[in-house]
Amino acid sequence: MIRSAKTAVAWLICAAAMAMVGCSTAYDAAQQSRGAISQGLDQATEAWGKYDRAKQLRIASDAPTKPEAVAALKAYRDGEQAAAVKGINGTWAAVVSLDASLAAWKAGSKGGLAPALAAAYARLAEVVAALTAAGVPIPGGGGR
Amino acid sequence: MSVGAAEVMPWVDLGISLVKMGVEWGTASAERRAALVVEADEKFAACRARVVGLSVVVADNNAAADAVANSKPDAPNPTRLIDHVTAPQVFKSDEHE
Repeated sequence: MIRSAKTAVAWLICAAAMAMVGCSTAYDAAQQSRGAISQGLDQATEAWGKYDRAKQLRIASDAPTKPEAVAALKAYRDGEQAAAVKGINGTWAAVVSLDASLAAWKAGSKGGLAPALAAAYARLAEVVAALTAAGVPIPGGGGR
Repeated sequence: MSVGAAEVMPWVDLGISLVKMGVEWGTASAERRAALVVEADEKFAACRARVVGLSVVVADNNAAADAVANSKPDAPNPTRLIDHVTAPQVFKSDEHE
């Protein structure tokens, strides 16, 4: 389980470094990194799904009456849940952009790959740091 | 739940990606065009699976919590509150005797 945002970011840097090992070209390295990013995001998404379910059930169970439960659930869904969904979807969007940059590189337009890769890593780091701060355990993240 | 623009973003990026492929299509060889078709299909499938997948998780979690919320009473049960207050007083009185 990741215990801090620092550990989460360190894990991402480590994953990026590992992805670079053995890659002969920048394109291969970026492609490997893309795989690492989407894998990390998959794990983060799955962990958040479990956390979200447990949290909502706890909110609903703790409220003594139906109106209070409905109000508490609405507050959670408008706040923390909406932010998490926005972050995760935004990171997937960055991965899709990275895919486009990889395709552009192959077509001869190489300028966009590095910024797209950096953006995807940054978005994933934000998601992992935010989830870690919220207490979401992300498997395979180190810091056990 | 509504996730607004965030849910649309992957599709916007996918669209941009497809437009770039379309531009390349004009001058591409037959082999490259075949590769572009496969590439576009993969991007579309991946994008759809991710966004729809997260929406399904959220909808399923929300439904489970709503079921618990709907099983609650509309107002607190007054009888239980009275029991809760009186019971310890009776117990303490018995203990001293």
